[in-house]
Amino acid sequence: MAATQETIAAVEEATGQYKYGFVTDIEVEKAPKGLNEDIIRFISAKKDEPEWLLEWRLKAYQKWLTMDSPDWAKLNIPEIDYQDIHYYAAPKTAEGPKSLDEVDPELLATYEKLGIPLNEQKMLAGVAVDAVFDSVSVATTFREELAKAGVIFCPISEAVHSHPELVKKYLGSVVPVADNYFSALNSAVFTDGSFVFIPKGVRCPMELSTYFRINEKNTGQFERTLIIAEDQSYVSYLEGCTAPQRDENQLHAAVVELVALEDAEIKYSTVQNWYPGDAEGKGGIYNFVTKRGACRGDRAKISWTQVETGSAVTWKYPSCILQGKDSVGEFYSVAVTNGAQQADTGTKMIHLGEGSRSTIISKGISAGKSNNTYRGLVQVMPKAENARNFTQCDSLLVGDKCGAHTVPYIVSRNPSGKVEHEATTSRISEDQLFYCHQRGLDEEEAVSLIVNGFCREVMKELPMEFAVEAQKLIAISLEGSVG
Amino acid sequence: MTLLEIKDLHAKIGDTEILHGINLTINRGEVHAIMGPNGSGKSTLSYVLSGREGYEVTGGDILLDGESVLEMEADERARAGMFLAFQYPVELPGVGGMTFLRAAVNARLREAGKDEVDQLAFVKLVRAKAKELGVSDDMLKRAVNVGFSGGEKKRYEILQMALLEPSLAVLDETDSGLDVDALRIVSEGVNALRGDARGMLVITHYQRLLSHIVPDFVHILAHGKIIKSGDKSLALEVEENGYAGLIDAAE
Amino acid sequence: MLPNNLQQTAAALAARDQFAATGLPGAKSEPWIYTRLQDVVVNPAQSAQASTSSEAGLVLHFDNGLLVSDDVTAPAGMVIRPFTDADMADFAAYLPDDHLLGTLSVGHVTSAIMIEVEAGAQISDLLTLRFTANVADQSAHPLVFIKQGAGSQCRIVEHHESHAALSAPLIVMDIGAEAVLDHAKMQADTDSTKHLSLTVMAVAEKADINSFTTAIGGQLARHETHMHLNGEHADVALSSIYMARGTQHQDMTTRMLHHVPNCTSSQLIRGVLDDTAKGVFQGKVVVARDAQKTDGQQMSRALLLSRQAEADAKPELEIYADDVVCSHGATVGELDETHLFYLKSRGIEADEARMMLIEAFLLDTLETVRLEELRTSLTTAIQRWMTGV
Repeated sequence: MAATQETIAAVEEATGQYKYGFVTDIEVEKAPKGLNEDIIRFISAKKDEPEWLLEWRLKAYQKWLTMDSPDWAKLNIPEIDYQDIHYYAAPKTAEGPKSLDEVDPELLATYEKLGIPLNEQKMLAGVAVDAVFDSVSVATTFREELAKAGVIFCPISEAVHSHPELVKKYLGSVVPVADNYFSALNSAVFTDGSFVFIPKGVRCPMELSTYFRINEKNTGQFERTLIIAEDQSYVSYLEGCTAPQRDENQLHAAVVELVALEDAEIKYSTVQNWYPGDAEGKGGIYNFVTKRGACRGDRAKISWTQVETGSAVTWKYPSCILQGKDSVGEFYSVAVTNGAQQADTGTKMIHLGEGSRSTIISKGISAGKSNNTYRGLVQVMPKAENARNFTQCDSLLVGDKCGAHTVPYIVSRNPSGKVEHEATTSRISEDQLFYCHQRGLDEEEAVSLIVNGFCREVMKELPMEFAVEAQKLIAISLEGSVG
Repeated sequence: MTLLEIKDLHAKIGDTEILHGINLTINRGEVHAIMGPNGSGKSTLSYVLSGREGYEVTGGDILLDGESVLEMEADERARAGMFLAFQYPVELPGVGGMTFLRAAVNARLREAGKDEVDQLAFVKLVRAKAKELGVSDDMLKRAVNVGFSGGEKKRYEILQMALLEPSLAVLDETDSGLDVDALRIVSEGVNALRGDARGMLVITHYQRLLSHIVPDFVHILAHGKIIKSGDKSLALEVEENGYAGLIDAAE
Repeated sequence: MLPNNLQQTAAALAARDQFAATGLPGAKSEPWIYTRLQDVVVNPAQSAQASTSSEAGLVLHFDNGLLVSDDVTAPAGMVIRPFTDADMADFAAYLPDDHLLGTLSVGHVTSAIMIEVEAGAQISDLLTLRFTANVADQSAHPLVFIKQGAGSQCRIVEHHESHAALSAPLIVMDIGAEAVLDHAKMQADTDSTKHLSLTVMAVAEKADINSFTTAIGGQLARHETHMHLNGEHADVALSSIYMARGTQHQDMTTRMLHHVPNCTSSQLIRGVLDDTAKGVFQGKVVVARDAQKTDGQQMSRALLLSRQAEADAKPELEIYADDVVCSHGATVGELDETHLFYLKSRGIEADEARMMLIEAFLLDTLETVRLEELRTSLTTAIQRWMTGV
């Protein structure tokens, strides 16, 4: 609730700059630029991977070579030279055991500066963090405490060794290697990311979070996250992302897979704040992400909440495959674009199971010269008796040089299924602004208040600590867009 | 002590001049009423005073505590102590009542170089004032003005006035849409805020409100000019004979 | 009024080349994701098969793609004439670039007719465009160009009752300032006929358009409508009802293009699908940067009557202006069980109860029809569809 106050503080503090744009000066080991089988062998060898995983990667690479970059989104993306990217970059000191005492102080300072102290005493109580820096996980906190509850929370590169049977069983089971161009690419070159396993009947005792940071120049980040929630378990997972301010574009192509078994619930929240490029569109992250969850068991529930304020280009559709009877999928999204940003984001809800239900609430805010598109698919398959979907997409335009677009796809193949879609587009009314001004609020504050009100249905889905952060971000993202 | 001085104020919307030279002085402690028929420029006056965009001042001046406010934005005027109780309060979907009220109060405190309110103490204060004005806890939890009845919106305006403690309160047709009971509650709220610290300008079409909020001075506005001023008996005269006679006499 | 050498005009030759070069849309073609075209027979009808029509009144009858009405007396203020070569180029310029349905029928034109309504003319007679065919392996490509002068008033109905491989009419309407148009299309081709139509309307300021489509025929039908709002304060109301059963496929595709400020558009779409039929609605509302104060509304509802029926919808908003009110809605569902039960509890038989509810579902859309004299026949057509006659 202290959000407005914090928002003001944040606005003052940031004064229109991307405040996470600094670079950490640290010695790194990089793979040479370019992508070929040798690079993949290099990555695999760096991670000391078993043969099966190398084979899996190479197969994905072969598949990727035959595929084309998707062109159906409402995005204008310059040709990407995949040979001009480092597919592996790691702080030299990050190798080996990762007890907190051994982490490079420079890295700890970096995360401290980002507002993510990795020192367990200083941390927000009840949040465990996995910190991923370029291609490797540099620290994971609270592991022992989690282990007591039977929860596994570790870098996926480690899980490959410590829990090979789980990784082998679930990796690529929700997002097949050849699902799309970027998932194939990721499968070939993924480096790190988080692995979470919540055993049967366990309610994860704290929030889990991963903090992604791209630091090195000319590198891509290709993280891979896998979360498995066994029967009757529960986990809430958060991720945050930042990158230094650079003139050239950088690629982030992640794959996230969630599996929820019977009566399990996974709540996945993202606050995405990759460097968006400057107002003219120079630099910034290309964010091409495949996120998908499978509600495999009856009454399983997967809930995606995202606040997207960063990246030059966002191509992202966190989805749910609702296989289980009475399973539930949710998608709550706020996407803010300003300057020359482009976002094409939304969700897919695939109803396979009887009685499955889904809710989609999307709030798009476009400012500056940006374009913001909601694209979503709701599909009711023949066996999804009594499936229900409700979709609400609202767009808000700030200024007259931006665009807001809504592209929902609805496919219904069961008569008992009920699909409802509503969308509106509007702007902040003069009346609303004047009312706020008359109560003493200036332009920035009034807009921030009204926009946060517009997003409230989504913001209330975020865990408290993240909601405050997200409100600040939205205010900062819209700076300079009014007046 | 002079609070508000309106000097030969001319204002237009688009190409149409609505106010043709208004003169009015309000001292602290005084309650002035402006009465006038529809289209006389009453609401325009309230918007021009509070600095709404689209209303252009073409002549004259508005002084608050001796300082011209013409160059000030609406939010600056508000922080300088001006409060407008809207005839049609605006809905702010999703904006929580407490968040909004606190933001407004803090904006003033910051301007005055004071510390911002303590969250818990503020909630307590709002609840206490809300209770006096018959604003329910439920209303405080909802988004600003969304789903409120006409009467609820007006009470919410007065609640804001009580919290913001303005030096000048402009009440624009606060009685419109109120039933007898609501009118009494709102008027009591307003009367409780009367005092030496502030002046009030009550804009209304009917005398009805003025029997609850008894003014020290009454002015009749017609065709963008004050055509007659007097004490509260002038309001009764309007009630009795209507505006037509007064307007004819002035012309 | 038989076709001259229109197929040899530059516009037709270019279109034919384009069509040959592009071919039918592939599996990844976004505008055709829900309607896959296969086995489209392009075999333009020849004049030899045309009969003559003796239908009285203001009727233009196209049989097997050729205009067969002789001696149609146009009312005062209206001119009906065959295309000139120049008309072909003019007509083609209204069509979207490289659009399959445009190149298909401009390239294979079988007949083309120009209807001009003088400025200010108030034509009260209903102009009927009748499209019939009886040769199963032929395709028909009639072109109709309607130019409605400023301030004129016009009432037009299209009846489609063809039995052919393909009926692919192209209709362009240029509607002048302050003109009023009441338009309806009733499509009831036989269930072995493919119907691929494109209607383009260019709408000038303060024009008032009411257009209604009822689609109940054809094996596969695509009704594509593009509305260009080119003048301020134009008002367009578009309503459609489609009903499909068996293996029928009905596709309603609309593009509402707000190029200028202050226009209003509304779209109401209702679909009823039985057996293994499939229904598609794709509606795109585009609001250009300058088109402030646009009011664009769209609502699509589909009713699935059987387990195997499918409804697909893609309602789209593409908005570049900030001071607009735009919304769309889409729903898919079945008849409400509680409503059915309520009717049955009052002694109404199940079939009749279903019919009542379907009629109720279509009612608000039916009520938008401005061509009063069609209302009875529309209701009859819908009832006949429901009883399966």
